[in-house]
Parts: sequence; C-alpha cells; structure tokens
Amino acid sequence: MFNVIKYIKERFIKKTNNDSCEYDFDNSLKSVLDKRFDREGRAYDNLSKQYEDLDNLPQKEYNSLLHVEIEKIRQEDDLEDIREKSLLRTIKTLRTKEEIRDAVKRGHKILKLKVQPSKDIRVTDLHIKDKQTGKISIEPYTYHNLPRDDRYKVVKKVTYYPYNFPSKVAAYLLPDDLEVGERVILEDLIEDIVGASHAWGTYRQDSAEAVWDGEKFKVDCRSYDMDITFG
Amino acid sequence: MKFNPITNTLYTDDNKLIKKMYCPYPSLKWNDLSSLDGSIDRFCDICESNVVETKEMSDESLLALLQKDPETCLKLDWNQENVRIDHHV
Repeated sequence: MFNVIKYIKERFIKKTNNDSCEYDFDNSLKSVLDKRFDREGRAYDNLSKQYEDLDNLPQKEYNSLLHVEIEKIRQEDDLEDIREKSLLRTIKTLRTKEEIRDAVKRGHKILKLKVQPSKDIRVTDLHIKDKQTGKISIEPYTYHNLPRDDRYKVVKKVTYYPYNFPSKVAAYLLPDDLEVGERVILEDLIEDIVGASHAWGTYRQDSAEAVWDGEKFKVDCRSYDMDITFG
Repeated sequence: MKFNPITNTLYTDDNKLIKKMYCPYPSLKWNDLSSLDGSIDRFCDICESNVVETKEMSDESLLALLQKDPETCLKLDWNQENVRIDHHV
C-alpha cells in the first residue's frame, strides 16, 4: 500500500513539476478521504431515518443498503458539482498590448503577467525522408512513426516549444466585483503548466479553474485530463 | 482523422477541417457526463447537449455530422485508434 501511494505521489509530482502548479498530494488524498467519510456518514444518517433497527440488520443486508445509498449520494454530489461548474465566472485573457492598453483606458482592472515559455513544455518531431521520392514528412516522435522499411530514413529529430503568442505580456481582465476566494475559469491560461505528457512531447494546459487570492489566481491543477478533449 | 493538440483542431486524414475543439469547462471529465440509453454518446448537463463519442467514427461520418450541425460537441481521446497526432496540420 505504501509503495502504491509513493508511486502515485511521484507520478503526480513529476507531471505537475511547475512552481505555479504544484500537486499537493497530501491535501488531495485528504480531500478524497474526507469526501468518502462524509458520504458514508450521510448514507448512514439517511438509512437510520428509514430503518429503526439499522444497526441490528444482518451484516450483508446492512452493507448492501449502505452501498446503494452511498452510490445514490455520489450521483447527487456529481450533479451538484456539475451545477457548480456551470455557475463559475469566466475570466477573459487579453493577449495583445493593444487589448491591454484599451482595457486600462476604459478603467478595467487587469492582472498583467509575462508570457514565459516553460522549459518543461516541448514536443519532438521526426523528419522522415522517403529515399525513393526524396520527400520529407514530419511526424511526432512516437514508436509507431519510426520507419520499419529501408525506404524511409530519419534524417532529423527536432525538439521545440510548439506554441506562439502574439505578445510577451498578457493580462487577465478582472471583473470589478471579483471576490477573494472566488473560483473562476481562466479560459486562456497565461501561465505555462504541463497539461499532458507523452513520449513525444508535453503540452500546455490551455484553460483551468483557479481561485482569486486578492493578488493573483491560484490555478487548480487537480484532476485535469487533457488527453480527453471535448469541444 | 488527425488531431493537432497545439491548436486543438481536428482534421480528416486528408487535412479537411472537421472542428476546432473548445469546451468552456476545463475540469469536465467523461465520467461527469450522463450516460444515454443504448448509445455510446453522453449528455452534458451544463450545456444540455449530447457529446458524441468519436472513437468508432469515420472521417466521412464526422464531417457529415458537423456539416449538419457545426455546434455538435465531440469527445476525442488522443489515444484512440482512429486518431493520429499531427503538430503541423
């Protein structure tokens, strides 16, 4: 059990090895366990109201009832989580100096940040030459893309930062009534945070939930799964 | 089909644009979506729309679907078998 926790801890810490987005394993584990104990407690309370002799039921029947009730509560919680997500405000990002200047001129509050490419975000491409035609194709550096036929040859491997932004500064447009502790959605994240990691590259997370602490947004890095894309 | 994770854009194998993917809820997960009876697609309770599972779809059927309704929401797993990652498409 200790080894499993150690493995998960190392894996997540590695995945989010970024000052602005450190994965807090202990707090996350505590949060998961707290949630589970809370659901068990609520399930027990609900069943106590329905069954006077709940504590005297045969163990198997008790476990089965508790399991069904916990599952019901979990589904209700999930729906509530979804409802809460839909209520979050979205913070716009200003990507050009002109947009930032205009916003300031119009009296808006902004949080200006440097656009700093992270050295942790890199992709690697293979330049593969077809010896017969001379044509060069560019593919991500994956096992499947490595040539297995003498006709093709890797002539170059190129590792690079793959994103381009119009300016070296960007700013979050802050609503006048933004409250300390408010959770929001940053629809276009300025900070470079690793969102997905593969053998052929790491990709930045393009949007995230965050909490406003009065001076900056604390990005919530929990549980994003960029490998599944919606849209 | 091909997916460019830098631009979040989905294309057919012959580079026709299928859709620029965008979801306004970054922490949304597949398991957050409600199952639909008799379908591998799911339902998003926030947007109140179906989310189409693309893992068994061909380029042609996806293009036809998006041409009919460009707002159709898609789910794409970067590791699914009918998708190739491409940084330059």
